[in-house]
Amino acid sequence: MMLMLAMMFTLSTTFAFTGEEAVSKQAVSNFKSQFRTATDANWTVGTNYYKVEFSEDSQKLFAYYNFQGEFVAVCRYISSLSLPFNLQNTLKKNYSNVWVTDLFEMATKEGTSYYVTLENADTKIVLSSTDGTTWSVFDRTKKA
Amino acid sequence: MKKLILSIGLFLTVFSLSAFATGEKDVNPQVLRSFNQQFSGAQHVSWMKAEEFYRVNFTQNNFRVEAFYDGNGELLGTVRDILFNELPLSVTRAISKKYQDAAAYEIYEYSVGNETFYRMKVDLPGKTLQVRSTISGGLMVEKRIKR
Repeated sequence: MMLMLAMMFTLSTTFAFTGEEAVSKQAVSNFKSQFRTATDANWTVGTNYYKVEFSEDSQKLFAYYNFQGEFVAVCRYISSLSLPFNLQNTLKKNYSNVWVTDLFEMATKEGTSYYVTLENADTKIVLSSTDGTTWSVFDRTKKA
Repeated sequence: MKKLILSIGLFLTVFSLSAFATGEKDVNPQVLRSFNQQFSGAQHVSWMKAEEFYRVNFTQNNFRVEAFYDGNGELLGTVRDILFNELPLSVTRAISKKYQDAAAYEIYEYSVGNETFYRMKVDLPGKTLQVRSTISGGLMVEKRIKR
């Protein structure tokens, strides 16, 4: 499930906008309880999840709930400087000839994971980390 | 995790008891080479030596960092000063859930070997807690500080 969610986030899967009244009451209730200081909440519905985009503590966050209203994950885009130090250093050491085009953090009940998209002229590679220390290849595509 | 805490504790104890400042010219060349490779762009660099260990304080990308090396130039660990919003989401959510709107400050990220943990102070009515968190938001109170 996390794999699917991460893929959705990286590939910017289309969600349809919907008003809060069309979202499962349980999802809205859970969201309001978990993110008490959230503002500017906008709900959209996808194939398997509700997504709510909102602001909290001056940050833009994205939370996901399944159709039963259960919390699945919360994500945010971050700068590479906000990565745990070990991850920053590994990126610098092993991927110095590519540039970062996308980087986000995803928190689920199990913990935090990071996904970074790196590109050069020929290749696009997505790395993931679930332990805050090491990267592994999540996806790799050759550019046309 | 215990090994991680002991390592950091050991470094900090060694440096609090017997460290002395040293100029860069007196730093082991292997150590200096490792540092310059790993932390290129570091500014405001100052070195301390204690027994066979080195501690280097510096800033990089506006973060204050301490790094610890052994005499062979191997990086043993780092401690970085960070803000609440720079903590992993799992940690901020765990703190908010357990301590509601309590202020968290003096937040440090510790990296030793393959492990990372966070330490911070949390102000509650009548007391301050020193709290440790894993990267996944597993919290533990290390000590209570009287106010």
